[in-house]
Order: sequence, then C-alpha cells, then structure tokens
Amino acid sequence: MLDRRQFLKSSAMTAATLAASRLAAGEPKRNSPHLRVLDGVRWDKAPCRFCGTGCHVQVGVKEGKVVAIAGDQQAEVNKGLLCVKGYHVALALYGKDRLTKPLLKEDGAYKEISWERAIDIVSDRVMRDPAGFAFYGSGQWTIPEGYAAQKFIKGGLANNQIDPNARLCMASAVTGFLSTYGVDEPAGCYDDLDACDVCILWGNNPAEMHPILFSRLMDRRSRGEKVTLIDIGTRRTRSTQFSDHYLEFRPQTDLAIANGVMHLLLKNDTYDKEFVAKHCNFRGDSEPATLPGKQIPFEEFKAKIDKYTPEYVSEISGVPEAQIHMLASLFGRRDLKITSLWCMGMNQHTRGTAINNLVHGLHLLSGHFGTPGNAPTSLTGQPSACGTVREVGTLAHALPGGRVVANDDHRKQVEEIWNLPPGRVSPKPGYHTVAMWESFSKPKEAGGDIHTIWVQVTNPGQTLPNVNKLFKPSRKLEDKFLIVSDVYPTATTMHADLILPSAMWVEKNGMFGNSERRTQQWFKMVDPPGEARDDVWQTLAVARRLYDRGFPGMKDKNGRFLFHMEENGKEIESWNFQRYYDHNVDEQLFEEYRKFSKLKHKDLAPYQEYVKHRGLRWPVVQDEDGSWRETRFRFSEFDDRYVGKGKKFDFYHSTSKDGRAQIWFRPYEPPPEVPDGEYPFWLCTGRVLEHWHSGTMTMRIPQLRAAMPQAYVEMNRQDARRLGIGSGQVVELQTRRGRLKLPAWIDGRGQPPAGSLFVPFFDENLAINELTLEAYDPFSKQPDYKKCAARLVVGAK
Amino acid sequence: MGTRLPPSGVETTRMMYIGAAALLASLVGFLSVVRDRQAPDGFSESPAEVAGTAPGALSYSELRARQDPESLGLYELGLKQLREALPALTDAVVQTEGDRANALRMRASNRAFNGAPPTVPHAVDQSAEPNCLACHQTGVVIAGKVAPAMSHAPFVSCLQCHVVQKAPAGLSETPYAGNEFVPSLGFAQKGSRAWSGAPPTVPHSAWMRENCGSCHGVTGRLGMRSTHPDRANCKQCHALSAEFDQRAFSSALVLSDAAEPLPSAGH
Repeated sequence: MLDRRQFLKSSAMTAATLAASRLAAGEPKRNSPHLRVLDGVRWDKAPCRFCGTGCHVQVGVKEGKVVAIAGDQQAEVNKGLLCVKGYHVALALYGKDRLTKPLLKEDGAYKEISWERAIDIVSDRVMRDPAGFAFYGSGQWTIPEGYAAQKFIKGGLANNQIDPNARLCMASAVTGFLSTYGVDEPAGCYDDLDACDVCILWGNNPAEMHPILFSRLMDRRSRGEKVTLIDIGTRRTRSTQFSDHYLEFRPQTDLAIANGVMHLLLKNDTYDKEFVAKHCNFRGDSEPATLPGKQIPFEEFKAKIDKYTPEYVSEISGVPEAQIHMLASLFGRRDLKITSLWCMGMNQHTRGTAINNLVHGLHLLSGHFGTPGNAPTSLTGQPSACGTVREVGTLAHALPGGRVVANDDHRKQVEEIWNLPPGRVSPKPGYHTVAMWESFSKPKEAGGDIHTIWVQVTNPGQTLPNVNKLFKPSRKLEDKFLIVSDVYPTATTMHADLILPSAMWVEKNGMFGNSERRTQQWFKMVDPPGEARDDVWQTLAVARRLYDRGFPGMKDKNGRFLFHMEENGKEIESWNFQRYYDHNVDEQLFEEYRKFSKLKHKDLAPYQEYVKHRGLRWPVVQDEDGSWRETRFRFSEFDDRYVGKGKKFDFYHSTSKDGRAQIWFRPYEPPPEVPDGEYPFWLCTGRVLEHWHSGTMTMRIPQLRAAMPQAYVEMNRQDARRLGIGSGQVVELQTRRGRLKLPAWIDGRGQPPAGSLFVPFFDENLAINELTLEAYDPFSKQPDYKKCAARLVVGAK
Repeated sequence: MGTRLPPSGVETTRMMYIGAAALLASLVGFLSVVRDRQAPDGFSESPAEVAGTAPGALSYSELRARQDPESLGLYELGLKQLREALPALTDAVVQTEGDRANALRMRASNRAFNGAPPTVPHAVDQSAEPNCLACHQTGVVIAGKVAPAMSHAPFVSCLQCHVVQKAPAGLSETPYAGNEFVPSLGFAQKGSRAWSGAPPTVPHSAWMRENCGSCHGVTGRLGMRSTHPDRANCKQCHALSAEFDQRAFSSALVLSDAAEPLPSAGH
C-alpha cells in the first residue's frame, strides 16, 4: 500500500503527465480548481439541482458514479448545511427508469429510434411551418440551455414563441420589480437575513420550501440573537411554529393588509419622509391599465389609501385591528431592520403584480430599504428562474439582458451581437404560457396556430393549471406534435409524440442563477446513462440540421451557422456529440451571452471567474487591479458601483427617469372565484419539504418518498368533525374543473383554518392541477394556484 | 398525540419502540416550554374519533392548564430515569469486531450514504417542530433502545434535514422504481496510527459531528464506542483531517485531479 507521501507524489505526477497529454491533443483544461481526491473519491462543487436558494453541494464521484453529497462549507449561501433534499440530491440521477433512448410514438406505442432520426423529426416539424413551432422551457434550464433555446427561437425561427414554466412561478415578481424599480430582481440579498431584526413572511413557508434560508435566519436565535418572525398567511405551517406573530388572512386580502399598514404610516406620520422625498414617486393605474401606470401626486395617494383604516382592513381580511397596528408600529420604527420574504403566495395571485408593488411600496414608504437587513426580497422556487428566465429572458416578450422584443433599439442590439441581418428579430411578442398551451390545444381551423411544442426540463402535464383544458385536448388533435426532453417518464412524456432522453445536473456542464442574483457554475462529473444527451446539444443539433437543410433562419448575415463558435481559429462542431466535450460549449455560449448583461447593469464576469467561486452576485464589476467584485446591495451607494457619489440611493433604471422608485396605490379587489353554497371551501395548493415541484426527481429518492409518499388534502378539525371525516379517510375533492380522491389529513403538516383546504401538487398520481383555476394576473399572466372554490364529497364511489 | 399513534402490524420490537416514543412524546409535550399549539396528532385511525362519537384525549395545553404539579414531578423524574439508563462514563467497554460490523450495518440502515442525515425511526409531530432535544440532547434509553445524543450543535429546524423513515399512517406507499448509490461511499475505516499504541486519527469529516460522544460515547453503538468516554477533549489526541473537513488542501491534492479518468466525451 502506498503511504500518504507516495500517494501525493504519484498522483501529482500522473496529473502532470495527463495534463501534458491533454495539451498535446489541444484539449482545454476544464477541470475545476476545487477538485480534490480523498480515498479515491473525487469531490467537486456544484449548486444543488433543486430550489432557487442556490446552496452549493460537494459531489463525491467514484468509478464514474456519484457516491456521496456533502454540504459545501466554502459556500456563502449555505455555509456547509443542506436540507434533506439537498443531502439526497444526487440520488435523483439513479432512478431505475431513466430515459436512455429517443422514443417515437407510432400507432400508440413508443419505439426506440436513433438520435439522427429524432433530430430529423424535430427539424421536419420546424420546416413544415416555422411560425407554429414553440419552445416551452423552465427555470431549471441552465443559463446556456436557456440562451441556446432563446437564440434558436428569436434569432433562428424569428417567431418569439418561447415561454417558460417560470411564468407559473415568478412572473408577478418580475412585473412587480419592473413597475417599482424599472428593472428586475431583488436589490437585497441573503445577507439581509443575517442582519434583520424582523422578518416578515408574506404567504411564505420557508421552513419547508427554502429551509436553508430559514435556518440561516432562525439559527441566529440559537446564538442568542433576537429575531422577530411574523407570519402573514392563510394557513398555519411549520414556519408559523417559529413565528412570534401569526396574521391569518382571508385569501386575496393581503392587498388590504399592506394598504392598511401604509395608511397607518401616513396617519401616524411615521413614514420615512426623507427617504420618500428624495427617492420615491407615487403611482397609480393609468387608463387603460399599463405596467408602468401613471404618476400621481402624494396627496392623491394619501386620499386613495385613506379608506384602508384598521377597521376596514380587519373587516375584509379577518386580521384583528391590533395586528395591523402592530405591523404599522414596526414599520414606523427606524431603529429596526425589516426584511420581507415572499414566493408563490404573492406571485401565484390574480393580483400578483399589485401585491408585489404594495410590499415594495411598504418598504419604500417606511425607508426599510437598501441597508443590510432592510429589504423586500422575493424568493424563487427554481434553481435558475433568475439566471435563465429573467436574465437570459426566455419569455415570449423578452430578449437577453432585460431587453424586450417590442423595443426597436433592443432588437437592433440583439441582431448586432448575434450578427443577424437587420429586421430578423420579430417585434411581436409570442404567446405567454397559458395562451401558448391554449393555442396548442385548439385545432388550426379554430385559431390554434401552434402545431408543435418542444418541452425541455419541465413537466407541464402536471404543473399547468386546469390541465384538462390546457394540456390534454391537443393529444387528440392530428396536427399537433409534442416533443419532450426529459430524464424520467413523467405526466408530460406519457403524452409526448417524441421523447428525447436528457442528461441532468452533474452529467453535463451547467450554470444557474439563484434568488439573490448569484450566478453559479459547475462541470460535468459523470456520464449520463445510455444515450441521454445534454439539452444544449439537442438544441444545437436541431439548429445545425436546419442549417444543413438550408433553413435561412439558422444562418447569420454572413451565411455562417447561427451558433457559430470558434476556438483557436477553428470552428467548433458543437452539433457533433462525439466532439461535444472536446470544447466547453457552455463557456462559448456564456461569453456571448455576457455581452448582453451591461445594458441593465447586471454585469456578468467571464466564465472562468465563476469557475473559481461558489457563485458571484451581479453586477460583477471589474476593479482597477483586474479583480472582479460582486454587488450585495443594489442601488445603495455604499455597495453598488453604479450609484453616483453622494446620492446614497439611486434607482438608476427608474420608470420615471429621475432615479426614483415607485410607491404604488393598488386597491384590494376580490378574487375571480370565491367559495359559495355549491363549492364552500377555499382550495390552496403548494409544496412540501420533501418534494420538489412535480416530484419527478424527489419521488424517486427512497428517503424522501418514504417520508412523504403521496398527496393528501389538509383540512381543519372543525370541518372534519362537521362532515364526519377522519384522518386517512379518502374523500373526493371537487371543483368546477375536476375531481380527485385523496386521503384527508387533519392537523397534519399544516393547519388550514375552517373553510380552507390545502393539497400539495408533487404527486403525479393525484394531480391536483386538474382542479385548479387558470385565471391569471393581467400584467404577469401568471395563474393563481392558491385560491379557488372547492367542495368535499364523503363516501363518493 | 401520543396515545393516538397508530397501531400497526409490524414486529413487536418496533411496537415497543413506537409505544415508548409515544409515551415520551407525551412527556416531552407536557414538559415542553414551547408556546401553546394544537395537540400534535398524526393520522388517527378511526373516523369516528374526530367525528365526535368518541371523546378526544386532552391536548398538552389542556393538560398544562390543569397545573398538576404532582404529575409534572413524575414526568420530570421519568425523563431523568430514562437518561440514567445510559451506561456510565466509567463503565468498562467490552466490544468485538462483530459488534463493530453490526454497528456499521445499523448505521447504514437509516442513511442514504455515509454523510447523509439519518432518517428518523419513529413517528414525529408533522405540524410543528417537535422538542427533539428533550431526548436527543443528552441521549436516553427507552425500552432498551438508545436515542442517541446529537452529533452536532442544535439547529432550530431539525425536520428540515431529518425526515421520518415511515410516512404518517394514512399516507400509503406505492411501489416505484427506487434507486441507490452504486457504488456507495462506504463508512469510514479505522483511523491510522503512527505506531502501535499511538492514538488513531479521525478517519472521517468532523463537520456536523462535533460531539464525538454521539457515536463514540455512551449513546454510541457497541463496536464504535470509545474505551474512555470519560475523557471529554477527544481532539487533543485524535487528529482531525483538514481534507475531510473541506479546509486547506495541499497543491499536490489539487493537482491530482486526474487520479480518476475524466468522464468521457460522448458515446
């Protein structure tokens, strides 16, 4: 046996020899500087595959397989800790039913086909009618994956038919940021959680959904610090158990609460006059309503909000007046640092943009903004909803780097960077998610002009609202074709015409962008199973096939391939999978994409900087000494290089072009569907700790599945008594859109108030989205999964 | 609440364990200084029970409301006795290689891999953070089974890492294509000794394992136990590993990235 010294010596020598041979073959060194080998296990860094928190894990690889996961102690986000999903993340690679071959549905059965044929079939669908070919992606797309799809659709097919599942998840947060600050994404970061005195959860349950952020905040109590937690929710959750105050409100009335607090700040004269005078404008709806709205005088704002007295707010919301006063007194204090967190509760809301505006407005009005601990911060549910969807702009109306298709200058800039002939990029937005699937679900004669959707990295067959209306009808229409790239059989692949097996997570190179503007990078560590291949490669291979067939959109203005890449003066055959990892295609795509990032001051560093770090928060600005410096607090002079000297705060993308943020008046309006005699319950849907989204990965991890094996309907004890329902008893849940049999759980994981029900959406066998409502926010087009009317039938056969 | 935990058709030891856990849950609830909350029911068995035909048991808050100091003293004594059932620090430790193999096997049985947080082999309150520390801070013995002391400092949200092994009754498991790590990261081998008689080095990461006594002290399984658990400052003799603990890495280690071949380029 080698002793330690010998081992080090010999491994160093082997490394040197191999490095030399790689150089001889002209292969770039792509290994991570963080890589270390212990007892034959290679450890390297990667961000977790699951939520938007963006923890880093250490991935241990032996004999070509992942054998262990550890929390990454060098990671600023999670500081070595993970949640139960993170500790088990790599088991998601090894489910026994991984998709390993391209599968084509013929006469109702799936047949294995070659990748060659699969690429041909996808290309055929484009060639027959490029205008009706759409991409449906996700916030789990890596940045290069989303960028490739974006360029494929907007630069290649020029039809703007691309939208992501993130539309269902954080679109209202985006419209909220845009209409408040003129530019998307939070100004604060997770450092606020280390500094705040008060943390307010707006319809948010981070103890289960963002556990690492929750423990980062709450573990401060173990260290003897005082953290006041306030839970504003529609049901008691695990987070409620830690909270000092619980404000239970009737669904939709969060708007009334926020207005009520602002009303008191004005009435008590405890708002931050200096901050408001220097840095804010007031805003209200324009006619017709537009996202930027119109400026209104302070007096008008005051008059409009005047009716939101504690009595009135309490009457609408059910929250006691004393609690509204309590919130207002906290916001009225300058000596307390207040951070607000929210996620789906505020975003999956038919008044999503409005409630986002109000929470931002509350922080602006009270000056609880822009210093460590004072921040309104939206959390994302997907690992790259920010990095890919919001920054790359994989939305029907958007272009990379905060640009939009409707803006002439923006299109020109994009055409220039992509080397396209002028006029290539279409000014007309494509369909947003609900409209895209509606079009796909309608025959062509009836106006359904989308004939093909290529789905990557998501599961719309389970996660679209009202799937019986938006997803299933197309499956009976002759001329519709569904292509799905995925890693496991899902509720979507089971309806697909063509299934493409994908590589996942550390089976490929990747980059994510988390909730706090942190861009992260990892390297491929293991091979994907069978013939599974990278999603980026899939997109590039189809693009190249189209180019070879003479499809004009896949040529730039010099006639070169749209995705032309070079290394050392030689063209990279990115479409040739045998040669794909001879180069770092991710780095190539990212370096091109990076050029887009400066317009909105979301500067990204070169790829190699992300190789060195556990992520960097943009804007990442280069210092005079050549080093790259991240930004923790945007718009704040002490940290953001783009704020001019002496300004203290500068909202440099202000919609009013004067460096000010907008405090909106947004009235409470009732929801589109409310409980009535026929459907007397509120129905809310959401997630649980153990499962991530539609459960396709976590339901294949034994430890997670054993702990939470199926969906259930959570109900209040009083309702259960009244209806004679016991825990575990199977009841039928019905809405105007569908029905589902589920076991009841009384005082289970969460406790809804009387008259409310909750069902998690992870279970593909008990798909709650056959029942949910597809009504959406007018600005963000994000549907409301959190409230509709339902009834329970006991003893249904 | 404890008395309503579901009976199930599993083997007797498990029943005893569940029963003990239930009893303990009651003790903990009674002693708990956490704020008032609804009684922590799991799934109850019979619909009638909640439908009002059977009287419900008292909630902890109701029990507390009775302010029965006599019972309170009993419960406190009960917990103390459970703690005292642990071996004494000075008890002689006699263990074999077979004990060690058994300990490692048991250890593997509730972890996905070496380093994964162990799953919880008893029912827990799903709706709230249970007072895990009542038992797991120091460790206790219940019906002959040891609830080990925690290996790491208490974080507030235990259930975000430790999930139950078995779903609450009423949620049924369905067969599925499971998975596992093959190969798996095996459990740490014995530490190295400079020479016979030298103290062995620590052969695993000490991250989240600051309390050596959790596994190697009196709550540890026989086979992994230290012969001298009374000596409290373990790390003064047993050297930790910087590499295991993700601290400093020598440049030679960084260079050794080719110790195993890179993933292949394609197929």
